[in-house]
Amino acid sequence: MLEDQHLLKQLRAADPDALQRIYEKYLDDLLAIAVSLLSDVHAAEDCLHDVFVKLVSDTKGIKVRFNLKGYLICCVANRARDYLRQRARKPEGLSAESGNHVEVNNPVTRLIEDEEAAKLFNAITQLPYEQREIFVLHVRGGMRFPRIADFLGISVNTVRSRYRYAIEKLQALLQRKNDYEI
Amino acid sequence: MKSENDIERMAKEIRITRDAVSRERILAGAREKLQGLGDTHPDIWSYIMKRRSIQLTAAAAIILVAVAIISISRIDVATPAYALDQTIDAIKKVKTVHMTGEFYWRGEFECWLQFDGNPDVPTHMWMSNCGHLEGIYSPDGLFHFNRTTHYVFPISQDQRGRRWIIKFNSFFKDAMKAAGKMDAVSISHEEESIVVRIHTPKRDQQFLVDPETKLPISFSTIRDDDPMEMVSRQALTLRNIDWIRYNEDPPEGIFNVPADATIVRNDFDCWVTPDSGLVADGMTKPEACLEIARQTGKALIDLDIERLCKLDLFFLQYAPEHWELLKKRKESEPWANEYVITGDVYEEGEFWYVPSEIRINGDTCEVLTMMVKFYEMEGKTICVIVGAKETGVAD
Repeated sequence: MLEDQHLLKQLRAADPDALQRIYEKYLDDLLAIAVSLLSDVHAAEDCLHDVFVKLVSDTKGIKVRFNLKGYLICCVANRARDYLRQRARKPEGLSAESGNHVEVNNPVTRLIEDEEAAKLFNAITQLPYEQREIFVLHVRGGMRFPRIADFLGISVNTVRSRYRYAIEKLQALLQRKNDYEI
Repeated sequence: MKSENDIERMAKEIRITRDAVSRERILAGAREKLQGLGDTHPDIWSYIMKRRSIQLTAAAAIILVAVAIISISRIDVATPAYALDQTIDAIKKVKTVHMTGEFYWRGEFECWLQFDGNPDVPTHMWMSNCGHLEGIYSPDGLFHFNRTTHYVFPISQDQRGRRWIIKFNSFFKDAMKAAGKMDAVSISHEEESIVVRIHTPKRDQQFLVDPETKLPISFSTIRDDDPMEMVSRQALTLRNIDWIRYNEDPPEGIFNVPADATIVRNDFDCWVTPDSGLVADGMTKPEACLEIARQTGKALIDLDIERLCKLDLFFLQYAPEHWELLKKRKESEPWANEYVITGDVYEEGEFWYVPSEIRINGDTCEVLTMMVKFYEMEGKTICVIVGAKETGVAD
């Protein structure tokens, strides 16, 4: 019962099987989130590497009651922001508005087998970072708006409006998909 | 134009394909870090999930832990009137030991040991640590036995390693090996007993020794500044031994499983009593499954300990210390506030399953497929949650 709690307790007891289970259980989602946020698969892997090291290092101090996935997603989002800040230049789309259509085929799309999904991914990476982060946390991370608001320290209404903008922009970007090859 | 739902659905389906090497690289650092932590003591939470079978039969640790405490204290060999080796010699002649006491995290226990020449290796052991459930060790094997239901579960032979054996002779012997300074131990003679006090920075403990037989008759923890340290140890740890009696005849048959006992397939079957679970009379099995799942979910949200332990065998493994910890955390942190049945009840083999979720403020925090088993006891049908599909059965 309460598998995540159970896994975390096993992890606190330095059980490698628990680490492997957590990794297998959440890797796909975490990797998709990290890549979506960073638009760079190697940076995303570095990000996840750091997150799992942190999970093990801080395991006794982690206060996770039932939602280990939520905790890991927040770690990924924080680490992604740190990574972007550390790039010593203003990250693309972190605060500025990007163009309203797909201009660049992201090389990550080669790692996505489904063509439609690859197009959507490419569109997601064109969103302004604030919108992209909320879209990814909500849709891929399964986080509700109030939780995202708490995590980001902004109002729920701001989260909702940014999400709405993100959807509208994605719709517009995908509408023009025929103009661009993936 | 794609709808919002279409976009969300597609986004959820995005899969980033990575080869095995890349996937392995992500985990390499964590693995290395974890290996470095391997020698540290697990904290209390690792014990919440500790297997009951180990708890019941780790009696060897009872004495060993006490010995370790004494050993670090560097005991002097003797006072003019009493020497600790007198106790060691006396223990060598013991035939049976009967004692009751309290573990740090398993509560009260009662134990019988029987020896046949070697005081470090009992031939028989009986231990009751959880009310109706008993652990029996004898040349015939190792069993968990429920004296109420007469259900017995034979534990596999390969678990009968040395960790099962109480080295009672080592109770004081190991302490003698560490004899040296007198700064942490004091021995005094009182009216009816010899008092051996051990002082360490975190706790004070004492043994009472019978001045006539020189055998230890009780053990108690007088001061403990860090009880959670003892809770977190690998083995069962003693808080007190109320009394130790020697060379009494054990109750007849205490080391035997009655001939009419019913051998059960699962260890958890031994835990069930007629008072366990939910009386399912008058309900169909699917109805009973839904009802016990709902009641368990509510009890979890309310942290209703009595109800949880009654309905779900898993929670019988929780020690009083753990419940106290959970109560504090419930007050200070977000806690489950919604339990939802998410699918139809279905049957597989001897179990029934109830798909469900636990949620905090609308967020799904745990998916659970409750495993329910039905028993016929005292003319009534009861159902009990014995585990979850995601985590296996309580054992």
